[in-house]
Amino acid sequence: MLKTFVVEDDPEQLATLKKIITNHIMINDFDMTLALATDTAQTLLDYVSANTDTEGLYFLDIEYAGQQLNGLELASKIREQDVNAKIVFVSTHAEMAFLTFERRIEPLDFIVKDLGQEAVKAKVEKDIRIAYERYNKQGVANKAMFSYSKGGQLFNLPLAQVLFIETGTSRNKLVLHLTDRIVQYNGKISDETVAHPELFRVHKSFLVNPKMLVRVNKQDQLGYFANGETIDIAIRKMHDLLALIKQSQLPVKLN
Amino acid sequence: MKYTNGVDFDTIRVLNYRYTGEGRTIVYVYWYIAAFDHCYSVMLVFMLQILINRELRQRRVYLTVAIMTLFLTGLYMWFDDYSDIATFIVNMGLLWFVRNKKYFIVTSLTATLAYIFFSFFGNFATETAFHLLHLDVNQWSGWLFELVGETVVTACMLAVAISFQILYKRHQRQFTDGVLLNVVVSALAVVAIAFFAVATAADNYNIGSGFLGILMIILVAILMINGGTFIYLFYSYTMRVQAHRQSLERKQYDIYVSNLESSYQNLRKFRHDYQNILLSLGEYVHAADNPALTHYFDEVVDQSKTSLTRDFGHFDNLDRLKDRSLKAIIQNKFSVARQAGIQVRLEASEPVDELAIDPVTLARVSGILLDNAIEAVTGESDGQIAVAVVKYPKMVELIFSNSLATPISRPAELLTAGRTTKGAGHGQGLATVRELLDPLENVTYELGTATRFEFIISIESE
Repeated sequence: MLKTFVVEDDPEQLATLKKIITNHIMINDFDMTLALATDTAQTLLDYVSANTDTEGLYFLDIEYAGQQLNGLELASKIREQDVNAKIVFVSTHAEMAFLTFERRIEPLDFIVKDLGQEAVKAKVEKDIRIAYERYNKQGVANKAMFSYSKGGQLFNLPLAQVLFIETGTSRNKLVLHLTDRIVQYNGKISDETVAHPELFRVHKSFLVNPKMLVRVNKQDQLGYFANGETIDIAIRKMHDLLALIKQSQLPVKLN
Repeated sequence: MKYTNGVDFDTIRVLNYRYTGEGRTIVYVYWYIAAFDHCYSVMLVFMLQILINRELRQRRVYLTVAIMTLFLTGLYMWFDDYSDIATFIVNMGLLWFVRNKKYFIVTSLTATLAYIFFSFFGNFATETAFHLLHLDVNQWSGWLFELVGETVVTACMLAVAISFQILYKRHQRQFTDGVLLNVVVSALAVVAIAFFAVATAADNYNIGSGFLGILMIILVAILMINGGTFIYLFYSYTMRVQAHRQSLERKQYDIYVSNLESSYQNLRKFRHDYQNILLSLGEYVHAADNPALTHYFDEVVDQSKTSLTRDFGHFDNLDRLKDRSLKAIIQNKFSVARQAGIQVRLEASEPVDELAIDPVTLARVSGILLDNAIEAVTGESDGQIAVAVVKYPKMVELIFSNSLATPISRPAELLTAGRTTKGAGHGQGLATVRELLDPLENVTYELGTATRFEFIISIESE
């Protein structure tokens, strides 16, 4: 069962949120409950710490007047306990720190209170539906994840976004190419080859996600990706790569 | 004038000496030549002055100059000592006619000194010429000597006038600069006084003109050195005063900014409370089931919503940044962006101290990234720029982002010089950022183009 939580320090707004959520769950007959609706952040944190197997949808405000925890800290602590937590920030536009939250929390959504009651209601309901869908799919296809670390911080992302890892221009720096992102981080390609068995080392400076290759040119020893990026493939590795493609029946064009 | 054209000094004495027998004629000739010489000398000085100072070109001045010339010629015929000083002092009477007194002093000193110098030179040149042509200076060639001498001096003075005009045209601004004029005036005054003093001394103690020349050279050299030292000291003093003033201004600016920040924080608190009051009031109003009240309330909320979100944001969270160079550059670029009608926001959820990166590198990199962002969204109706400072236990990340009108499919291309979506030649910026950040061991970066353009600099604390 997916549990829903609300932390909002304004009693009227808390009551409204409670009403919207319980009504929507009831109307749609979702396998969900409103487990906790409170005005203190610490209460939710205590609940999550006590019930470590919680999987939840959390509606959080960002600033709680007079409380030690703020929305960001609360969310990051929830994330530590509940890896799949679906977090929605409900706050005024001025308090939102969209970039920061996206980077640190990866929230499900932001709901801007100033947009008016109707808009807030519509968004809360939509987020409940999305969270419920994701919760149900989660069990079926446990998506493969990829992670890298920076400054003691772990960043996770779906493996389906990873194209390849390349040795950087300076020592001990690697460049991770994603479908719409370039990430430079500290590491050695030999260590990464061991750490990520799902990736394939095609060259002394390239570690590739073979599932993302769209075309391999045997003559020029080049591999192509959907966004047009290319990698070099060593002659010794070409044979192994082709065997892997054949064996896993990957949709890679050969020419 | 005594040291000037030698006729009344050397030549006439020689003439006197040679033709003692025909004393009368000689005295007659001597008188004419001397009168012409004096008159012409004085005229030359005035002429040069009028040529290089436009303000003197008026009828009253011409008249005064004519009277002065007559007066001075008469004076010198009667009493010839200290004629240069006398000319210069009488000359100062022209100050009456000009408004730009300082500039007049420059021109009149230039004219007097130039005349003194070139009459020496003219005399010497003429004597040399006569000597080379084996011409004797006698009763009749005295006139010739005089004519040649004055022609040389006149030519030199005209050259001075022309070069002064050229100098004035090329460096007009320097001539109106008060400080520079002061320096020039004092330098010229010192040279003039020195010359007059040395000349007077040489005269009274009967020192020869050769020794006088050497004395002059030494004196001028000393004056040059003194002048240089003076100018150097003057400027270094001005610089010090300026630096002091700047640091004072800086301090005041800092106080101003911190006051602004604290009052802005109060405003933010108020806005927060106000918005929340409005929101909870809204709950009651909607529950009350009074259509007129609901309608009125919604209108009020609509209005305050736009006014509350519109012009806020550019100062938000700035007080949380303690790194001065980052703060300064964000403040600067945000105000540029705001003037271009771009929405800006700064996110800093926690106070951030000094960052573990060289401030100059950080300033250059963030400057380039913000300039790129401003350039990218300028002209877009809904352009947005946001900067976030995200703090982790062992790392600080700076996120620079801007909205994208059209998505970029290949982010890797952006990092190569000369290839961007902005057209050829604009990609140098990101390539420079890369060059600056690549060598830093504790710094890595990310570049994202999914829904918006995003450049993240991760600075690990050492």
